[in-house]
Amino acid sequence: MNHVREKVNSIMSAVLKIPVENSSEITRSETPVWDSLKHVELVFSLEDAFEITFSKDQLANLDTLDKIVDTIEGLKQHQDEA
Amino acid sequence: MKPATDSAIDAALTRASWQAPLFAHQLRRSELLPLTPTWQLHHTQIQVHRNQPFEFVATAMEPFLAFSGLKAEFEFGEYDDSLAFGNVSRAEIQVVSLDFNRYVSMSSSVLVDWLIQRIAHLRSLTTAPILVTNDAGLNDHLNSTLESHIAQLPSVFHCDVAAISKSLGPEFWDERSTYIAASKLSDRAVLHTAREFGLNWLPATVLPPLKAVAVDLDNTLYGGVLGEDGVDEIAITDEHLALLDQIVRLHEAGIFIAVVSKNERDDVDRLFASRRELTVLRDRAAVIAVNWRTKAENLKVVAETLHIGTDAILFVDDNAGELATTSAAIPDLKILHASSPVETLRGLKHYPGLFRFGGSSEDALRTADIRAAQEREIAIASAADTSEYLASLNLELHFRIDDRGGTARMHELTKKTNQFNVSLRRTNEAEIVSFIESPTGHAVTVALSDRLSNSGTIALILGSTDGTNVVIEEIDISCRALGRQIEDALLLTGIRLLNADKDPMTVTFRWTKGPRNKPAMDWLRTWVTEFREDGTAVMTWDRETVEKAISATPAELIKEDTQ
Repeated sequence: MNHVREKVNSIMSAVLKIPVENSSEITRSETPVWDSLKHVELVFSLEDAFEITFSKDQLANLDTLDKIVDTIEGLKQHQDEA
Repeated sequence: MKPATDSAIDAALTRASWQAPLFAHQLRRSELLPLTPTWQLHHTQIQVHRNQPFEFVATAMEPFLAFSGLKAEFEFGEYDDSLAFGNVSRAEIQVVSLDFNRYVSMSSSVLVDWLIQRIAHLRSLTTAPILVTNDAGLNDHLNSTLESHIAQLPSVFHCDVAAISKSLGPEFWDERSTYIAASKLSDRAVLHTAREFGLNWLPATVLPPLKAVAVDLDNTLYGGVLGEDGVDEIAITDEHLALLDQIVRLHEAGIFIAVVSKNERDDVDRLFASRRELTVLRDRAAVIAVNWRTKAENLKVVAETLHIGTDAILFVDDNAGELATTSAAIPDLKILHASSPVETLRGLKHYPGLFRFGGSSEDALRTADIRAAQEREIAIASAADTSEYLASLNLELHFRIDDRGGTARMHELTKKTNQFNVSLRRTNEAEIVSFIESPTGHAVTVALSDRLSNSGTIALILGSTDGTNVVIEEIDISCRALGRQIEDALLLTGIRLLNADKDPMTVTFRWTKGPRNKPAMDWLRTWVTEFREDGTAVMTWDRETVEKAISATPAELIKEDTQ
């Protein structure tokens, strides 16, 4: 598993207080504990841990684990290239 | 005191390891998230009245509250600009948190008048402490007016969110938050506000305050080791000076300062005499324990000298080993690892129990009073005739009844007094005011002075009377007033005053036996024969016996007019 996904899994598990398996896809619509309060905690924890800043459009679309990983990888790549 | 268990030592050291992430200049969720307490927490219920989200701040408070020994359950009211307070619960604490931008049609003065009226209404519905956050939008006029009005209301406290906004500047706000949180607060603003609530404001409301800070010297208050580097070579940097300023501020807030150091006393005296930067410390220290005894032994002496429990002391030292050893010897001691002067300064700004809402004129009296008490104790011990010595002190007891301007000090006494506290009721200021305003309730306060010092208001008697029988809810006498044999005159005169200056037939005392109120219980036993299981004890008032006890006290009794 790549480093980004592993780290996102760990943070998501700590914030939502649910086990996040390596291969699972977690979606906000199917995860009752992932409410608006937890979403705010999650996105700010991710920003802090990865030292990135999501745009407001990105914030609105981070509703699955896969999308979160993809967005972060995109931002990190952008940072590395800058 | 029982020796510390492994779990108690573990808890103390775990707590010490939390200091860096909790006191950090830049708070980080990634560092706060893993913190899980291994110690017991006191559960408290908090009701929040608001017109904006507060849930994000509440959730973020968890690790800060845990460090303070608290766990909060929040009840959130509906979003209500009108503050109707239609459903005020029995929560232990009430919080009012407003987005002041929602009242733009009102001028600052009209807004403050309206808000104070609403808070006063909330005050009438509950005696729980009320915390009110101010305008983070930095309307200084509104905030200063709000603060001065709030100071007039009992048990209502002004929470300065504007100070956080000022320190974070533009980073306090994050427009992106509006899309996901219906709030404009940035994550930094949420975390910093959560920290103030969790480490300062809520502990100041519900927990016993810390009464003393005991500081080490070498590599704590200056760089270097005095015994090795000498007086001239130890380094006092700007960061150390900022730390000393904070210690002065704590002293001005009424917290005792003690120096606890393993050094030669002569070297430290020479240090204080020649390094002017440290004069502020020498002049303010209530106890200077410099010798080669263990820190634990010295801290116990500090506690005894100041008449406080070791659980009311924060010990600051750069040496983690010393902290661990001392913690093992004194399990209820609070410890702060002085890893650097900057970190130590942050610790002294945030350690739970140090923060005070406002100060009192009594605060400035404390250290001078303790020094006078030390002089008295030495003189009493060496006096050939104790009674003669006490008579030579020219003691004066000044009695006031229902002093409405003194309710803040009354609350300080109910909150802080441990040794001479009969009921351990911990009546808050709003409850005291409510008591005084009731038809039969009264509060008698007593101030004490002698030729060595003015101790200020040192006692409270809170009770009710039907004209014949008196019921005493609270008796609190500050430990600074003990040791001058004034208890009988103070309490018996006070009880009589409470009964319109007439002898009652009976006096019923509410009592609770606690871990440290033996002096109060011993006094009560001299006047009461029966302690009932319902927590009451009845004294039959015998005029002759009471008069004899009062006249045996070497003090002038002065009744002051508070009308």
